[in-house]
Amino acid sequence: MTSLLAYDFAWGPVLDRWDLFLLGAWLDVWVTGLSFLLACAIGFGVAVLRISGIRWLQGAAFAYVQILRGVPLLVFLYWVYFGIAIVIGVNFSPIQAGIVALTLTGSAYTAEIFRGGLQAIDRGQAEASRSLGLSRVGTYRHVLLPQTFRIVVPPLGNTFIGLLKGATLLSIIAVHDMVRVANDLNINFFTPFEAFTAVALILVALVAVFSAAVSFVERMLRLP
Amino acid sequence: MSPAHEGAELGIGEELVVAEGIHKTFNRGMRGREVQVLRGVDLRVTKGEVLVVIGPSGSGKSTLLRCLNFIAPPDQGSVTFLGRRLTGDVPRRRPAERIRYERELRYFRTHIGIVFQHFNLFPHMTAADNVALGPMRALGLSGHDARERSVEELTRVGMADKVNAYPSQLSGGQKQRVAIARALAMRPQLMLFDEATSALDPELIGGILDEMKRLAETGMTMIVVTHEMGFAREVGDRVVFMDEGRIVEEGAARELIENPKNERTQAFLSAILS
Amino acid sequence: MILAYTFRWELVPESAGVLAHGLKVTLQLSALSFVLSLALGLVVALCRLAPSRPVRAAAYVYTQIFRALSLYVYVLFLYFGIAAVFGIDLGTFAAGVVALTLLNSAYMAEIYRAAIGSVEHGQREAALALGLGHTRTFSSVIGPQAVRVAVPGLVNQLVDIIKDSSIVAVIGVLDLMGTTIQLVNTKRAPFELYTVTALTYIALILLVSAAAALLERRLARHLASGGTGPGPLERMRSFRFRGEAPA
Repeated sequence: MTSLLAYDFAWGPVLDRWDLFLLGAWLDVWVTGLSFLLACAIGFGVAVLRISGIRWLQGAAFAYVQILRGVPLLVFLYWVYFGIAIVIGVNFSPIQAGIVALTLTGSAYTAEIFRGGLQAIDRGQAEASRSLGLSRVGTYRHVLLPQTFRIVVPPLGNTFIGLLKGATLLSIIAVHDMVRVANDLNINFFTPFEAFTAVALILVALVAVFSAAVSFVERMLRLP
Repeated sequence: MSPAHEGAELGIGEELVVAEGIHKTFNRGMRGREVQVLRGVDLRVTKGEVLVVIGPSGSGKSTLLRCLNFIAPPDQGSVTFLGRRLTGDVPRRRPAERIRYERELRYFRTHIGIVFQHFNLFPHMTAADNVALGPMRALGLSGHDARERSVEELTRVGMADKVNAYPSQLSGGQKQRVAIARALAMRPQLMLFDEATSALDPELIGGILDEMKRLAETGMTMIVVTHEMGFAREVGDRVVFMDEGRIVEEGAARELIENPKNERTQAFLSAILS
Repeated sequence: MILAYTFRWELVPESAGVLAHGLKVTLQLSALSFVLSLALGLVVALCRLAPSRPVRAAAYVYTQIFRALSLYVYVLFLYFGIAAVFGIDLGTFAAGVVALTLLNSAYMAEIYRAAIGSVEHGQREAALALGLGHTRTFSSVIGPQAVRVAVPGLVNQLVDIIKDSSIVAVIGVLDLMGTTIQLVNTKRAPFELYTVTALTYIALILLVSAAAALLERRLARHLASGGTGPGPLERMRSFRFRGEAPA
C-alpha cells in the first residue's frame, strides 16, 4: 500500500509528543478564553455606546465595529505585531500581540451581539419594572439583563469558537501553540500528514466539546 | 399522457373509495412521544356521495384525508380507489416494484383533489400559474392547454379577473377559490375538503360553502371535514363522527345531526350547535 | 508624545501597482471559491436531506468537521500533508481555492438547509397532492421559496471568504496580503504597508457588506408585502410556463 504512495506513514514522532500537542492546545484555549472575556467587556461597552442616543458616540461605536469586522485577523495581527509595535515603541511578545488582535477583532462581534440582545428586550419590560418602583440599576439587574443573557449566550458561544479557530493563526508569529508544534515536527521529521492531521483532529475535538457546551447552556436557559 | 378518465365509467352508487383498517401514528420527534392519531378506521364512499366528517380537534379527521391520497401514508391498512388498492408499505428494496408503487401513487394523487384549511397556494406564482402547474407537470398537458384550462377553472370559481394576481394580493376567500380551482383543474374523481372554511373570516365562509354546494350538485364525490353543521345537514348525504382516532357513529346526514344515537356524538353536537 | 519613528508614507503610492495586482489575485481567489462553494454547499445540503441515512450521516459529518476547522489548519493539512502523501504538487493558488471552497461549502450547506426548512410544510403537501414528483416539487415549489430566504446568508459568506483568503498568503500566494508581506520584507515599512492593506480589506468588505445589505433589504421589503408577487429574483428570471407578463 505504501509503495503506491510516495510516502511512508510514521505516526511515531507525533504520538511520542502527544504531551507537547496538548500543551500547545491548552495555550490556544487559554489565550482564546482571555481574549474572549476581554472582548466581551469591551464589546458590552461599545454596545452600550451604540444605543446611548448620543449621536457622535453612536457613530464612533459604529465605525469601531465596521472597521474591526472588516479587517481580516491575519492582517490585523501583523499590523499589531509588526506595525504598531514599532511605531509606538512597545515590544509586544507574540502572545501579547495575539491577545490584543483576538480581543479587538472579537470585541467587534461581541458588540453587535450585545447590541442585539439589549435592543431585543421589549421596552414594555423596562416600563413595567419602573412602574413597580425599581430603580434604573435595579431594572437592569433584575429584569433586563437576565433576559439579555438568554438571547446573548448562543451567539457568544459561537464567537468563542470563532476566536479559538483564529488563535490557530498565532503560530505564524512564533507562538508555541499546537500548530507550531506540528510545524516543528514537520520540519524535523518530515511528517506533515501525521502532524497536521493530529492538529486538525485536536481542533475538531475542541470545537466539538465547546459546541456541545454551548448547546447544553442553551438548553438549560430555554424557557419551558 | 395522463391516464385521465379510467374508471370514470363507474355508475352512481358504486364504491369509489374504500379505506380499510387505517392506523396512523405520528412520532413527534422528541423522546418517543408518539401519538396514535388513527386507531383502525374503515370507510366506504360511493360515487356521487357527499360524505361529511365531523369531530373534535385531534380526532384524526385531517389525518384520515391525508391517508386517502397518501401524502401521509397509513402505517397499517389499505385504500382502494377506483378498483386500485394501495397500502402504506413502500417497496424499498426492489426498484421495479418501487416504480410501480410510485405510478400508483401518482394515479391516486392526480385523481383525488384536496383543498386545505390554510390554502397552501404557492406564493411565488400567480393564480393562473398555481392552477396550471398540476395539469402541466403532473398530467403532461402542454403549456398552452394547461393555461387554457387554468383560466377556465378560475372563471368557474368566479376569479376570472384575478388570473394574474399573486396570493398575497388576494383575500382569504379568494385564495380558497383559487385553491379549489387548482384541485378541480386536475379533473379529479374525488374531492377532499380539509376544514376548507375554518381559516376564513366569517363573512367569507358562505361564499366557499356555496362553491362546495355547487360542486356537489354536479355529482362530484366529496369527503368534507368541517364544523359547519348547516352545510352538513343541507348538502351532506352521510355524516361520520370521529373521536380519538376512531369512527364513533355514522349515518344519514340529517338523521345523525338531528338524532345522534351515541353519547359522545350527542355531547359533541350539543357543544357545537349551542 | 514624540515617536521615535519616521513615517515613510511615500512608499504607499510607490507600491500601489504591486498591491493592486495582489488585490486582483485576492478577488479571483475569493470569487472562484465563492462560486464553487455555492454549488458544493447545495450538493451537501441536499445530501443532508436525502432519504438514505448513510448519505445523511456522511453529509452531517462533513459539515461538522469543516465548520470546526480553521482555514489555516486546513490549508497546512492540505498543502503540506495531503500533497506529501499523494506526491502531488498542488500549487498554492489551487490549494487556497480547494481549502476555501471545502470549508465554506459546509457553512453554505447549513444556510441552504435552514432556508429549505423555513418553507411552510403545507407547500410540500400541496405540491405532492397535485401529483408532482419529488424533483418537480423541489424545483418548482420549494426551491424558489428557499432561495429567497437563503440569499442574504449566502452573500454574507462572501465577506468571510474574502477575509479568510488573506491566510493563504502564508503558503506563498501573492494575494493582497502576500504581496504586502513581500514588500515589507524588502522595503521595511511595516506600519505604513500593513495599514494600507488593512484599509483596503476593510473598504472591500464594506463594499460587499453594503451590497449584501441592500439586497437583503429589497428582499425583506418584498417578503414583508406578503412574500409573493414578482420579487427582485423573479424579475431576473422568467417562469417557463407563464403566458403573460406579471401583473
